[in-house]
Amino acid sequence: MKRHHLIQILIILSLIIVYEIATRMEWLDSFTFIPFSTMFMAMIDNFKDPGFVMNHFGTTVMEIVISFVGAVILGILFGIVLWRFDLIHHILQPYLMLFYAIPFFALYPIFISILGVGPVPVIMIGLFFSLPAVIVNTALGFREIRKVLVKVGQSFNLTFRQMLVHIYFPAAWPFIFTGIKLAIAYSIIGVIATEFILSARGLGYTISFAYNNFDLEGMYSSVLLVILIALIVNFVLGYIESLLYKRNL
Amino acid sequence: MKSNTSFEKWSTIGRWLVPVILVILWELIYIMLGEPAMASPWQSVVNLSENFGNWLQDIGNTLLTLLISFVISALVGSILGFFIGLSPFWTKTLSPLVLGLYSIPKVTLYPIFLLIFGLTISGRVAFSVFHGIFPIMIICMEATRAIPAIYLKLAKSYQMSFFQKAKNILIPAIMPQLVVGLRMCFSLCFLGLILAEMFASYEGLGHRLVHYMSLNQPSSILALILIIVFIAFFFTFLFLIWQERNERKIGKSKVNAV
Repeated sequence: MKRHHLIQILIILSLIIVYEIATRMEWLDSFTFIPFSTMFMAMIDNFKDPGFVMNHFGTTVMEIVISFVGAVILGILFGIVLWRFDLIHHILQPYLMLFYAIPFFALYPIFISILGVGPVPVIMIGLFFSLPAVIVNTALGFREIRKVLVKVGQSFNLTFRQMLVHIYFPAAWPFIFTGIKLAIAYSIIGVIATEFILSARGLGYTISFAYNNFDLEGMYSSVLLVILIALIVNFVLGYIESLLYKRNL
Repeated sequence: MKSNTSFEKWSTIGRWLVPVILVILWELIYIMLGEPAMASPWQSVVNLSENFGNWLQDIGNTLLTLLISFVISALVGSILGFFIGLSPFWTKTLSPLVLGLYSIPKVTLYPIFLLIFGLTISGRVAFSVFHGIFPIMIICMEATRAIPAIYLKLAKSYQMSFFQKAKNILIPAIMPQLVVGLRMCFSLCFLGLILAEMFASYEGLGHRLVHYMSLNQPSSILALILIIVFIAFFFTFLFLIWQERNERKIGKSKVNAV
């Protein structure tokens, strides 16, 4: 094990232990902070409740998956369009860059009035929030393909479809994957934040519901679950990415 | 050459067409959905001009909170990032942790800020700082770590003190990335602030949005969104101008490409 991994683990562990001791000894206000072990046990207990698993956990996972998959498919298609048509790329580029400057969640009220309450507006927010990251990275990946690779394909007289499968996609894949990695992070943020502010279902909702009912254990257990989901997904994708880069080098 | 100029012409026309198309789309959605669910662009603009006086206080409140939190997170984030970036070992150790923090949906932590600070402006500032500080820290860390070794050698050969080195070599070297980081930091502070105001607050633009949502007044909601988008674009443009100036100063090519 390398030294920096060891120190990373030490930092995280010592933070958790200090926090645990501080709450157990009541150095921190017990109406604001609860011990980490209590949080963790409450999180495990939540999964024994089928209502929680079906209505909240399941809904959130479904919303995240749909919005993420939608963003990846649409994003790659749009990215290809932007790569094939220089004019569209040139026109849309500044707008794509400005996209993340807008606090996108402000649009949620409008989505509700257009699409009704339910999972659809939440999915749409998650999808639109992650879409530009995929578009930009896909277009960039295809644009950065080395000329040599394209020439190899042409010298074999490949059709456009064959070029896509055998040349363009494998060459652009690392860039596209970066977009996909961002997309999942943004989908998670988009879905959970929307549920958190204005929704009646999902993990984000359980946090705001517990907060409004002074249920500290419920609130912290859901917060911990959300953080764990985000970190695990991030870690797994980071690992896959490092494998991809190793293969491509 | 001729085709090149026509390309330029069409792309300028296209860039102006995008907002026009968006407004037309908006109008089409309005026509499709009808009165109670949607408002037309014209109604929203009228509503905006009628209510602007009433909203001035909320706009001022949001802008003030935003400015305070942006300044704090920019200063703290860039200084922390800078000092961590000076040591390659600590950059390698801490950057995955900071990236992990960056990827979690931070809005879910806002109730904890509420428990600590209550429904005050300091709670919103603290949350907004927390929301915006990580990208600038990451960018600053990476930029400082990536300063070419030859620059540091130059500093050594002139026997510069640390402050001279920081002022004359290190900070100018990371400046281009720093401006990009500041822009992202600003956007994220704004996003965090609006989210915080939407969740629980008695004042500010986010609070107004939720208020009109419960009254079901789409024209006011859309008018507020127009204001929010305007604020976001206005400051982003300032940052982009600054970025372009910086890039011109160093001759457009990336510093790290040395």
